[in-house]
Amino acid sequence: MSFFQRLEHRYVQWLTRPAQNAAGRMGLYRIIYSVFYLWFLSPLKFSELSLVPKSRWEPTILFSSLPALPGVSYPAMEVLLVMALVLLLLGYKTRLANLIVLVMGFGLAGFRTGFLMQERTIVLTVFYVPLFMLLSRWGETYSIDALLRQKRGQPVVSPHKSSWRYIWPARGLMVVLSILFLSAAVIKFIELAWLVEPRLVGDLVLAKGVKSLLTNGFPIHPLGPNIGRTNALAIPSQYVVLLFETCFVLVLFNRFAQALILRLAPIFHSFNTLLLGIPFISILSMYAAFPDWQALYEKFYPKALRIKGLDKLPSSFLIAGSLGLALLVGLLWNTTPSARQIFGLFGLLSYQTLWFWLLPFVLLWIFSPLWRRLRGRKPLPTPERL
Amino acid sequence: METQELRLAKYFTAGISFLLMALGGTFWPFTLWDMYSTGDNYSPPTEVNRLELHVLDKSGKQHVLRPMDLYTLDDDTSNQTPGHQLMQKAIEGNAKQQAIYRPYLIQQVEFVLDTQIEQVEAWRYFWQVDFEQQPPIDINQPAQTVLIDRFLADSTD
Repeated sequence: MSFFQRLEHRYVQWLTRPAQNAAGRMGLYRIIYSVFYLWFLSPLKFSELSLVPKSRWEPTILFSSLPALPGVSYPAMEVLLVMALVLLLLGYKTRLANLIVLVMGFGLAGFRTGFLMQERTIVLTVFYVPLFMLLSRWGETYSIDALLRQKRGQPVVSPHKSSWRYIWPARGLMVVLSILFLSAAVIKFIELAWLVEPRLVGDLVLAKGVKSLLTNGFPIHPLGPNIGRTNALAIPSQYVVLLFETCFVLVLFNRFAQALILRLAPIFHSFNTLLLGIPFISILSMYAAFPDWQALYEKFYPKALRIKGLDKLPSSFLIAGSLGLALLVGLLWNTTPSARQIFGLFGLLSYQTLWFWLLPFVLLWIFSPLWRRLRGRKPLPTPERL
Repeated sequence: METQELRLAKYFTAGISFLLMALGGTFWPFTLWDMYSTGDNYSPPTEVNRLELHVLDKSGKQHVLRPMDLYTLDDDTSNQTPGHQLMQKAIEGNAKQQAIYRPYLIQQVEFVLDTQIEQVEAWRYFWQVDFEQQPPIDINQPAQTVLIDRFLADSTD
């Protein structure tokens, strides 16, 4: 067996390894992703693209053959995107809804990039996730599609099914994320500044904190200037960032590295938000592909809140209800503030604050096994590797 | 069926990864993460400034708009300054830029405020930055404010 054959064999083995509750966790990921995307969209107004002078249209290579669209197109695309997201959330015509989410979301990001600003981080949410999930089976559980199949007498997919056919797109996203993190580290190594200028992060924390306040209104946290001015804190931070970005790729190879890095990632992003005003929230749509949501659902989701009896409703009611809800939310999106307010959670969570809301849960996730180990002297559970 | 799906999974994941690595940096959306890699332009400032608009609407009400108020922004703060760029071109750009961007600025302000406007004043605010102090910059206490320009909304038609 040649080197390349061995490599391919290992790659296929990795991609096709079964994962606990694969079918159920991907169905729940579909719901979480759709809700997250609607929340993410709620403060953005794509109708502002309608006003931009056509002379400012500087498309990226991929959009270079397209002219600037008529002004009404952008809010119309936005409404179609919202309607498709509601259908994706419910799981009705999942693959078609997924395709519309990909085309409309990516299209709007492309036009925003051509007119206003380069969209680099939201491509994770609007491009990579729907692209991989277009080929997934995330509509086979917790969906109207699954209920309709059940009503037609077709076999029901158990959420506990562990086949690789459900989980491989999540692994694909993990590969993309690893390459992106590695690229951040490699470019820093090539540019050398991060290696040879020990004050780089200290100065970045000071300058970016002020810039973020002026450009985006992020308040300067008192920790920022204190860390930025103190070499004993700023210099190690610089190498911790490099280490984190370099090591992220290990999530693909080692279960303990995966468990450790995915637990440290929210802390890393929380500090970036707190000190630099870089929330990079869209990355959450990718991280959300990795946890076993099925196990969490069974353990923590209150039984009283579980929706029951949907299978007793007639198919026509399920279909009409799904389409009606999608239409309603889509039509309300740009005409009244209510739909944006509901999916925007009434401003309770914003780009600026979401990591801090998640942080206590992450700390609980990190420390509860350690605490149980200390109390009960039980061995730490072996982390499951995606 | 399973063989076909395996082939799809294998080549799709490898293909997207290859595109990302081969085209990264030049072909959006396959962009790599080169942000902050050079460390350029990040020396701690001692003084900063920005343009702000004081807008009088048709009902006589005053509004203050910062550049960030002109557009909805997402979570990428590294390079999203479209409001700053628009204000800069419309207020301090050359005659050609002003001719294009002032009417657009008025339209954008009216879109944001959802009202017809009468007059715009552009002010440049200056702040001292002192990292020994907490907070290092008091956004409500600019060191200096300079009126750059004043124009009627109708005059840009």
